[in-house]
Amino acid sequence: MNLLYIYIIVISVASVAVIVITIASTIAGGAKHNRMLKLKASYIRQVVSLLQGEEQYAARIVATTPTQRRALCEAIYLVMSHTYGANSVRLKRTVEENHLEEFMLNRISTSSGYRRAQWLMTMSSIPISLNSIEYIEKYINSSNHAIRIAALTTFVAANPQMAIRRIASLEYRLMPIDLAHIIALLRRGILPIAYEPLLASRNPNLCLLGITIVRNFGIDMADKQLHNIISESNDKTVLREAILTLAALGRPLGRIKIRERIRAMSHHERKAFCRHLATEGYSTQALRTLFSEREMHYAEALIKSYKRELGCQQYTQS
Amino acid sequence: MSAIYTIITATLLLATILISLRTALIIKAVRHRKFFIDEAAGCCESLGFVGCSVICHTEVDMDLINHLLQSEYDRHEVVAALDSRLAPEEFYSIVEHFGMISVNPTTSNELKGIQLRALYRSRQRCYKRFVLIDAASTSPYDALNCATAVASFDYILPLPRNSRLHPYAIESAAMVISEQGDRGFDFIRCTADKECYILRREYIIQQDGFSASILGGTPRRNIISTAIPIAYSSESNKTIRRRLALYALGALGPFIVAGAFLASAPIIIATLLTAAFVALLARYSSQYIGTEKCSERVMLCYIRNLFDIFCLRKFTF
Repeated sequence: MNLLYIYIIVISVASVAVIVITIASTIAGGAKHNRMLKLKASYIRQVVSLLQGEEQYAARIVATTPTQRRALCEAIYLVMSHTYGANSVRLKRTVEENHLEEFMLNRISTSSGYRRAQWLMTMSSIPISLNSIEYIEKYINSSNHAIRIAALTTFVAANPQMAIRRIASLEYRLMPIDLAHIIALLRRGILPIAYEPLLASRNPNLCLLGITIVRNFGIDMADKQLHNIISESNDKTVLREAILTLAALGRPLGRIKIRERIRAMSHHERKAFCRHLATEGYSTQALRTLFSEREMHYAEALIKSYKRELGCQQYTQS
Repeated sequence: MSAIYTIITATLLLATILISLRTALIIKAVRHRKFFIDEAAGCCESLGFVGCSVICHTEVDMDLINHLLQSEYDRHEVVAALDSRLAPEEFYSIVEHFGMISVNPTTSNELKGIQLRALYRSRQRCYKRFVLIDAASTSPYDALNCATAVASFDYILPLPRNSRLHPYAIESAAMVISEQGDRGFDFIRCTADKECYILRREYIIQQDGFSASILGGTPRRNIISTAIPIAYSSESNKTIRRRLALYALGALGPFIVAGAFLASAPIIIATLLTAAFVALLARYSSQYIGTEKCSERVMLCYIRNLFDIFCLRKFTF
């Protein structure tokens, strides 16, 4: 009976807590959110003008309250993440005068989970001091996936000279979605697109980054380096990514080493790869050199059911 | 007597803890998706080239197909299996509307007993890949097998009955699959909102196609559970409320009856407070799930999840 009374008290307290949280989040998502959006829109206009070289705007961008600072940080992040080659040095005066760096560091240290990750990502768009870079570096080995990739992105954006060394020293394997974050920095012009040393590297993370760069920027010239990886690499993921990249670039896959590697794959992997190549648009002739007669039956069925093949089929039928 | 009180308290406490954990998992999963999905931007390269075929059989109409084709993810297709003899007008109106072309009904022969009357494919530049199959309607499982036989991608998402997909559902599914890396698995169970499954194509072939027991033949380590919402029920609010009332009666009824039988007000109060707590949690997490913010739907999902502990996994369609 006593247990039941204790349960009633606990559940009542928990219910009140949930009510409070729900009301707070409703308010945050309502009028306050609309005010924030207006503020952010106004800051976005000012930041864009500043980046366009209208220096007089630097003095005008003022954020004194935490809400204004938050809006300004988010506005800068939004503009910078959608701009190629924007010079973040132009933001230095605004960042210093409004104490945005201290504000963000404070938010990073006091928040947790995905909020911390979001603040770390926001910080990747502003120029920061060496002390802040050192502080952020400790989050690169966080157990939370989002925090560690956000910290890595910020570190790489703030310190591009050390980017390759830092990625090489990572204790974990970068996933495709992590690499997409780094590629976003490349698209913004923060990092150089120097893929050759990356492809030649023995470090799987660097090699994967190199392959991702080649694929994202459609670099046909990297054909030879990709073949070298396929010949030499023993890493399953790297190997798979290299072959898929060659396929994505529409390169021929008939070389002996590639055939050997595909033959060494498991039956399921080969089938999946065969299906992938068929949907990528490879012809039955090209696939015949890679797969056995039995596997080809499947690929042929798939390719024949595609429109461009069908035109010929319908024509011969009629 | 005290044993009955202890059992009732323990049951209510366990239910409360499980539902609280479920809420925390859903919120964490939604935040995870929100953080990562922006960078993927509908591009399969950011998600490890994962491809997903959505297959559907029941209640296929123009509205559903348009809804499924909204996804911007590039390695994604919709395969619908219909019987043109049962509903010829609907079938040919879909063919006409989407400007589909008839192709030879070639299948991969991986699944036995597949017989297609006709196969239609959308023109690639007009719409995303949409495949329509004309197959004899013998059973829903056969229809799903026909759809699987012509699907191009490695992962199959059978759309549950009366369901729609959440925004970014395909991207979320691809993200969950890509995060597994080299870890092999048979299927992904999506527990948030309407329960659905994403099955590995090879697993379906191993199991000789879809059947009621397709989910039962796999060890627990080969199942991945995700709390990211993928599908939601498209039933009307009235139907959902009616079903929720039924479920709530089944879940809370025994406690109320026990309270009345023992003439114990604390049991009834504790039961009602638990129900209120669950409703509040559902209200809170509905802000994270979906666009309609329907807390009844979330509550229904919570109660179903609780009942699922005692049920055997069965694939119903």
